[in-house]
Amino acid sequence: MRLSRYARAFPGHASEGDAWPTWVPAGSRRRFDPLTRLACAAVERLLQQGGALHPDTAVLVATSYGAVDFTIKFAQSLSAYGDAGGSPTPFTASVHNSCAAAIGELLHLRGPTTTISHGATGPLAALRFAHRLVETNRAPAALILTGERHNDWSRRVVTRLSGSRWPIGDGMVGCLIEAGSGSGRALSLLPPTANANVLCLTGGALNDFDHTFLNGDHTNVIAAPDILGHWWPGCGLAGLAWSAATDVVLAEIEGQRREQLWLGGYQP
Amino acid sequence: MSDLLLTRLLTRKAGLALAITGLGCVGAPGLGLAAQRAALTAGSCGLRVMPDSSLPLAQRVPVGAVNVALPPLPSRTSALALAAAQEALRSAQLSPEQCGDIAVVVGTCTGGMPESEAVFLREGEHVVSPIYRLQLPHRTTQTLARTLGCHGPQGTHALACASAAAAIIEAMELVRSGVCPAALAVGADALTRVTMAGFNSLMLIDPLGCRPLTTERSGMSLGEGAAALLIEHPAHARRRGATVIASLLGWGEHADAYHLTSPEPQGTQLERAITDAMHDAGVTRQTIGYVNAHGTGTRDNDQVETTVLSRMFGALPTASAKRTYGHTMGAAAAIEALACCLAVSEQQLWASAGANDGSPLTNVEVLRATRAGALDVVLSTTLAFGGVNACLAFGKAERCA
Repeated sequence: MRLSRYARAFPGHASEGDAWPTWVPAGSRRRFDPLTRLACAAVERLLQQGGALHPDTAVLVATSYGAVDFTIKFAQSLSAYGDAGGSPTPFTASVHNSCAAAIGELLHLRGPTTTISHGATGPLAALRFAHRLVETNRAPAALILTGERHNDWSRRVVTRLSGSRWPIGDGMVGCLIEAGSGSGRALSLLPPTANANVLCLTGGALNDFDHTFLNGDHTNVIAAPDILGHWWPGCGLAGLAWSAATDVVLAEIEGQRREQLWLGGYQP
Repeated sequence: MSDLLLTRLLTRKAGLALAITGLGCVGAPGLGLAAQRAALTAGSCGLRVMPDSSLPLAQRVPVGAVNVALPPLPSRTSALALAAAQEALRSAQLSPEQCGDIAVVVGTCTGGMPESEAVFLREGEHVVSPIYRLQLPHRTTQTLARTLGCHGPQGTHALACASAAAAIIEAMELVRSGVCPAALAVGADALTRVTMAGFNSLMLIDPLGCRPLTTERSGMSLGEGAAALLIEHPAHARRRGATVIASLLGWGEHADAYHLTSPEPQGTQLERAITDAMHDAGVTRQTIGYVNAHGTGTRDNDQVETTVLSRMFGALPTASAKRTYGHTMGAAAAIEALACCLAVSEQQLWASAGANDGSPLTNVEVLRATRAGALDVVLSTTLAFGGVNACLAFGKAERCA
């Protein structure tokens, strides 16, 4: 099992001034929230690496706040017009799996799909589940999209409540899991050999317990927010140096519970 | 069916049948299996207008509200989930010491939204309240794991109305793959103003209460609740001498890639999901004795679903539980999974609530009353926002022996 493609997108790649990918019909663009817009940018970069995806590809999205911009727009419509006056457009797009649904619809992907919302370990849970879907031949490949796109409200809330020592950021990582050999990085649920010296990449410890927890098992820990300059839950994967030859353990902590996966060095 | 699809189906073997050894539920009928059994047997309507509700729309349209004492937690969704999960572990006769390796996988749409929307709408968007810590869906999962002492893997799926189906699927695969010996799959959602106003804005709510699988249907009714299933590896269940209630045999899930809110009219991917579930279960169409349909009561959902079921099975006995519980969103697939487990366990084909209040659709056999029958395998189908189609297959306990 391997990650065969990998791409990142940040809001600067997906501002309203940038061109939309050609596979997003002009008539559909206004109904996509900023999270889906960011996902489109990441997927475009993945498509540039290897062409169209198999129509039975699974689509898994991991996000904590989802389409929060449209959720707040809908709540604002309730504040303004009452419960009987809500606006339907932001409601439908505010549903947590709207990003996965939009990407699946745009790329005509009909494999299994889900949206995982499990905080910092959500991205690794998505990779774990995707690994199983491909391993058991439920899908020939799995597209994983993991990230956040805050609006003013959620950025303010997360800044105040998360405990993050980094600024609250936005970003999207897209990757493709496929079976068999080829270029990319091998993906395993468990490291082939226990090695405390292997590079451990994490989305960052938010408290002393997490910090001790991570550093207890690994001597070489890199916090992705130190590279990115900002933080969102489970942003470790965004710090990956994709084409580096070194093995990496991805580790995230949520609620004093650690999840980790192993990525082999990049094979051309 | 394309050659590629056929090849994939033929090369994939049936999966391991798992044991369901614990069930728990809270919903409009009340708390506990006895309340669910009574409501399913009677095909009763659990929908009520709530004049004193804090939800403005519930003051004038019927909903499936829970009106029982719940565990004292700050999040209503978590309280519903915990009530169901505690009953499931009790019915599985698992002591707290035996829960250590168990995974917890939750499906929920709204998580802590009831509490956070109350603050947002009352105090305005510039107030940052600590209550917002509760709003993320995984807080429910963490609450369950911590309270119940389950230290296995955790997962939280927010897949609209199929959230609990996704949770059951992941729980099943965690056990099948040997990651853990047992998993607690939970679906839970509380009623929220945003959800009610949202479906109202889409003009999908039937002001008279939903009438699923009838020609008079004109929309859905919302509800709240939770259900929990303890899914065990059969060897683990045998070792500890557990009583197996039913078998969890297989699953299928496919996306329409058609429209965010409308199902694909031919139901092609729903048919694939059902076919995959039967293949995973290692059963044929002739084995299926009953379908617990998603059956929301909307024109499109019931039309597509019964079209597919009749195309695949003919006039198979079919029922919807939505008039009994309301559409409980993230909990729905778990509640309906529980109905399927009780159906095969007790050899009962549950009535489709509301079938006698209208003219049942005729392309399937909509059950007007509960009746006894020899059931081997039953299906639960789920359709959701985003064009999600899921199917779960349940069998008699002996199937995982």
